[in-house]
Amino acid sequence: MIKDITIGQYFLGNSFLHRMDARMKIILTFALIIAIFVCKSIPSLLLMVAITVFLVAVSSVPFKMVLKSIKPIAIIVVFTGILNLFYVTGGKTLFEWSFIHITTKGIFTAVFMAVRIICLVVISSLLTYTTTPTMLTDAIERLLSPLKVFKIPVHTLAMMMTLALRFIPTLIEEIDRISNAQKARGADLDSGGLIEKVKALIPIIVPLFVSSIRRAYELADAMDCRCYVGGDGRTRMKQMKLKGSDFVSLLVTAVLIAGLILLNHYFTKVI
Amino acid sequence: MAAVISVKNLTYEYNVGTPSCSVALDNVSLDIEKGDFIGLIGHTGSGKSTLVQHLNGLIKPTKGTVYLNGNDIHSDKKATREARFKVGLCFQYPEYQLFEETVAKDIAFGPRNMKLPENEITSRVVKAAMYVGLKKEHMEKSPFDLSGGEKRRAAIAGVMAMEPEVLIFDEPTAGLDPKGRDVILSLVKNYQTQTGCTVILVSHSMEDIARVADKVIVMNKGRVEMYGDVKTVYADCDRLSAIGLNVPQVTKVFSLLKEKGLEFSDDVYTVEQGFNVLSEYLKRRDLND
Repeated sequence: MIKDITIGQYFLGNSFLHRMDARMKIILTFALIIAIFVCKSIPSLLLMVAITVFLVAVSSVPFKMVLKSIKPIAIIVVFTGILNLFYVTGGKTLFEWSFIHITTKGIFTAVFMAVRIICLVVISSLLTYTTTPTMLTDAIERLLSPLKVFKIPVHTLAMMMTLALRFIPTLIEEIDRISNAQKARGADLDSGGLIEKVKALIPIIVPLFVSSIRRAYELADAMDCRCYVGGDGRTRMKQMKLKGSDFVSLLVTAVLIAGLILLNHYFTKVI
Repeated sequence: MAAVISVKNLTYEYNVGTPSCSVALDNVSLDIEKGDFIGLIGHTGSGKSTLVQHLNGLIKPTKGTVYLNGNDIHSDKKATREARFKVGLCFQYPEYQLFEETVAKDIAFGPRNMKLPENEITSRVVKAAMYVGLKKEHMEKSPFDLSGGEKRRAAIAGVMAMEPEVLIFDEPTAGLDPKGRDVILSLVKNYQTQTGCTVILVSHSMEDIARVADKVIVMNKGRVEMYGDVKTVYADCDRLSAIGLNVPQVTKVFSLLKEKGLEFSDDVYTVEQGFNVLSEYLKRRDLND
């Protein structure tokens, strides 16, 4: 059960997306996500879908893994689709029965929202598929570094994120170990009602907290021993440098988004 | 004597169906006889821990069967649950499983899961605490206020309190200093002699096993390499070192002394035995002089 969780789901590869500068990747991902919600006409939405498909194709991430990232949100997609179908009114009425009105605008909204959510999830999961968690936090730290002016501890925040990601697999292992130990003492984790099930978690959660806190102290000591003092005056082993290809991607994305806006402008908006 | 646990053609594979699929246990068959004290030794990754987790039904085998008193422990849910109580398993670093408010409550966790009557639980907790040498003043403390060694003993008591027919210890001395190691080993040995139950001790240390066990199982690469009484297994020095296990240093010293023409027996596995053999030898020599 617990092994199905995939956070920091990096997929090893050497595609164009893998090689792109992580900072640029984050910025372009954000730009595309905003662009998704600009699409209001059918051609612009189609272009957005085409961009998404293209990105998946060049990422060298297997199609199966991309599907896996959509699976958890399937319920949300269906749910918002149904809500939009029944509650958005406008355009031609196609079907009417007591309180139910189904209109053309309702159908379009439902379809648009579904496609938008799927595009959004696929694009953002491509970011985590093609960037290692350390690269990602590194890039976030640099993108946020202007905030230092306002005395926001950007480096500390980024370090916290890195550590949190680093310890997810360790904690999963720990949970496995503790729950085996308690099962060996006859703990019954699977049967019983909701309250019994929650109660049955106490013998796992308490040791987990204790060992997490102990681990945190040990880690802090280890960092102290290696003279860690935070971000001030700290240099980097890996320098990030924007390459020519990164600027080309920026340019292409800008052109595509401009195209989207134009397509929006010249075709009828359906929602 | 009758076999209390009988393992037939047990195979276990990790991550079946993925590229990282690997065989942890490869067609293992063995019988564990009632009342034996068995040492289980092998390298890291030889399948020791995986094997013992099969014996109380924590892991379901890929192929093969585990019989407890003649019954397949995976035949139904009830049988598996029964195996959990009849085969007690004390994991490595068991002190990390402590969670209750007091030591007494923590030791009672197992018996309470067995749905025993309250007075039976209390008497078992007292008995288990006695076996591990925890005093009365410890029992009402929080387990997190105990010292490292006391924590480990409290956790061991938690498994003993279920009074299983077979008690398995997975490296109970890991991370302890020599003195702490001696304490744990002797309390395990005492427990076994007093209750007469079957004990399996997983360990890295040939010397620890020689000190307490009657029989040894040697595992290598997911297979049972050797299984027999301590003397027979330890005599096969070449085979042991071929799989990277070394007989205790004392044993080596004595076999070298024997090569030099001194008359010593082969079965010296612990420093204590060595001391006795040497002092006897010196006495004899003094008499001859």
